Amino acid sequence: MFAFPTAHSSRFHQDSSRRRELREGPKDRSMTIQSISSLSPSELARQLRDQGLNLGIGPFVTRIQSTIPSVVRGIRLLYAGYPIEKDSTFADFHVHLAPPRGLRRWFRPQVLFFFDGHVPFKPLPLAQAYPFFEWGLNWCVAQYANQYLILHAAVIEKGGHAVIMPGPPGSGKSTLCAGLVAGGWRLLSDELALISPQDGRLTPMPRPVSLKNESIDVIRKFAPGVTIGPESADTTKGTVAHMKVPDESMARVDEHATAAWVVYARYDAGAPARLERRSKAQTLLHIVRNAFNCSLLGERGFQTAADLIDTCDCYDFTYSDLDQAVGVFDTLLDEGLLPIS
Amino acid sequence: MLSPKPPRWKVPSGFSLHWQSWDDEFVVYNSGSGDTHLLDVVAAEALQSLERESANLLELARKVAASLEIKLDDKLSAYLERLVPDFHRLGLVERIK
Repeated sequence: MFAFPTAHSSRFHQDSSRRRELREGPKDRSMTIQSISSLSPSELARQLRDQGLNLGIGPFVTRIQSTIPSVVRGIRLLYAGYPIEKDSTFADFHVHLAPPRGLRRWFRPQVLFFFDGHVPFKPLPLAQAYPFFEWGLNWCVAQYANQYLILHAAVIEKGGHAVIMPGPPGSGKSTLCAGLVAGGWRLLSDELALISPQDGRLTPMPRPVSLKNESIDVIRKFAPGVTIGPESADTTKGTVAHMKVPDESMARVDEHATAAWVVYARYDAGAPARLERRSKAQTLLHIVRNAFNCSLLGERGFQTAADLIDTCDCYDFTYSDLDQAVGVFDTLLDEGLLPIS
Repeated sequence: MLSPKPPRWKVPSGFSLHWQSWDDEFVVYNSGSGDTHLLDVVAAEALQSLERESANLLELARKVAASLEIKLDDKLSAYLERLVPDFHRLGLVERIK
């Protein structure tokens, strides 16, 4: 487990009124909230090149700088509806993606991820700059947002019931998450569940859903209307592309949610959709041992996880067909088999 | 020659154990080590007993058997003989000197 520095809590309590105004319209007509889509491509590129862009992503403000075309295009396409926090004098994370200096610029070009001026990772090929940006942002939150218990899990919600889907890479968690979101579930997060130790609620941080390899075409066929960004081949995870967050999820970014289910999803070729109860104690043990920061939070982390599992039903879910899988989730929700909080 | 007294065991006083249970499965968080463990009902009863007061293995077996209303037999004794050293290795109990 990493040693986690303690986050400066004051950095993370952002006034969400600007995002609320983006959804509901400004109370004061003299005030306007800008989103990425309101900037022309050249203005977006200029701001990312010069002073950086303060992007509101869930509860965090991230200042992004980059002149790398794939990063600029990716932000323009996949973060179009995200608010620009123009008046923020600070940002939670300062992120800069740039090529290394020297001959590398011309020979097998690479990209570096800077966080607060430091370089926490080895460079990657320039063609992987956009997924590097997404992975780097995940790392920033997982390392520093210690006011939350952070799980490596997707979180979706419908009808007031949130589902936490932990799972290792390759389990099929992201594919199922993308399918459910395309099927009308709200996305709170594709990768990181943020659980408040104060009240156990989940804070939304919707960001583009990471799809890998065959999952990209599976989602294209399943939901032809969704926007999927360019593919990056030959990454450590294979070919990667990101699905844009639906507008409905973005519009409800300030609505916290209460978890009702913890579901361990696993893709199993040819298997029928099957939901089986799993031991709460085993689930708690897995959650505690695999959370990014449970050991850092100590007793508070354990109690937050224990309270979460106590109020949720826990399941293993096996699936191969996405239509069938989404149907199982919707049927269960419709039949009221989810615990009512 | 006098036979040595059997060692006594207890949960160290410097830290606390946090419990969560469902049915007959118990999860315990050790604030001393930061580790979390999954225990069955016998192991949980034994550890909770050592949390309340110290005991040697024979005393512990009697307490666990009485509390869980199970037979005090060789099987239970053998289980606790394996279990308590495991607790010790995990930092959940200490030997009283």
